[in-house]
Amino acid sequence: MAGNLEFIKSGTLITPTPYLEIIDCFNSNYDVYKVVITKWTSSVTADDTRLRFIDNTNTKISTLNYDTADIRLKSYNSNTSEDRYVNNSWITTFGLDMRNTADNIGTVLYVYNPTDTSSYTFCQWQSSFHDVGNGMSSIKGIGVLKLTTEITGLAFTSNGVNNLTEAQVSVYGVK
Amino acid sequence: MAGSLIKIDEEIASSSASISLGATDWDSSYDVYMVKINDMQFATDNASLGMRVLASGSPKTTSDYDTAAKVLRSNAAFANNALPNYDRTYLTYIGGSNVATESLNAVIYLFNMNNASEYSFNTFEISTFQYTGVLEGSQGGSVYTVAEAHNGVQFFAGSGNIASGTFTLYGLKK
Repeated sequence: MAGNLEFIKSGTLITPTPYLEIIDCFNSNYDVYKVVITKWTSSVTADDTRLRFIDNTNTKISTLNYDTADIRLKSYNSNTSEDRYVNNSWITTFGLDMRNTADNIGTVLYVYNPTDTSSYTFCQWQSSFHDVGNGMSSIKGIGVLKLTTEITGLAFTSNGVNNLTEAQVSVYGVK
Repeated sequence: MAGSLIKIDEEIASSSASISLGATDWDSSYDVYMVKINDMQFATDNASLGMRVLASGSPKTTSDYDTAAKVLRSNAAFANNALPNYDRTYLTYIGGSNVATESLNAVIYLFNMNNASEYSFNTFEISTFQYTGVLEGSQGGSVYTVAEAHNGVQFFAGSGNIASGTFTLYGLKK
């Protein structure tokens, strides 16, 4: 019997650039997508792992229409950190300060309704990562793009300027 | 290669008092199930979303649901939702929105549903809007503390109907 989790495409960073873009990964065949980040290394101290959506003209949406809420659980102390952003220019944070190759990340992100022009595009995720300054953390988060634009792709970045040196993302449709 | 996430049931809400997944469509050959809720809207503003397990196709309404969740929200410090001995699992914290663009979306995993000698557990991740227009999402789990077999789940609004949305039940192949 065929399954209902279907691989769509993956993206791997070839040369250092500020964004890993995966275009045309969303279409009308699915309403819900599972996105898995399996590699991530950035070049600058304290860079986050952030997301912008790509619209149907292959343009990264950088307007102030993203809201995010996430909580970070830490292995190195018992404190938790909360991030709350309203009307931001990206969804953040999946991970933080992964400058060494060994400082990797594992993220499972669900994206809802990206091609539905009657609803906002929502997402939620869980990450586990190791940052160079402190150690292992886990993040649970939710985000929304408050636009009804048709979304067809993903653009992951650290801050939109500094280069990523390693990134790998796979996209699956949940049929 | 065949996949391992197998669709069992799907229901589309249309001004529905409740949505049930499973019951006569239930397939007991799985240990773990996944429920996907996509683009759900309430008919009434400021409504909660409840979930109950089904036994022999009927929702269990006794006050034996224990829920623990962290409520993420974009406008205030996150809340802890601790709800022992309630008559449902609450999947929302502040009431939800009936605005079309502000939908509710979720992934829920169901465990031990077919085991009559253990409780049925679940974990849930929600992403939605409060009726006040604030991004909110509960991340947590619940349990129905009666040792019996269950053959599905029911979703319903605390007030009014579920206006729209797609509810899908999957089995995770062993």
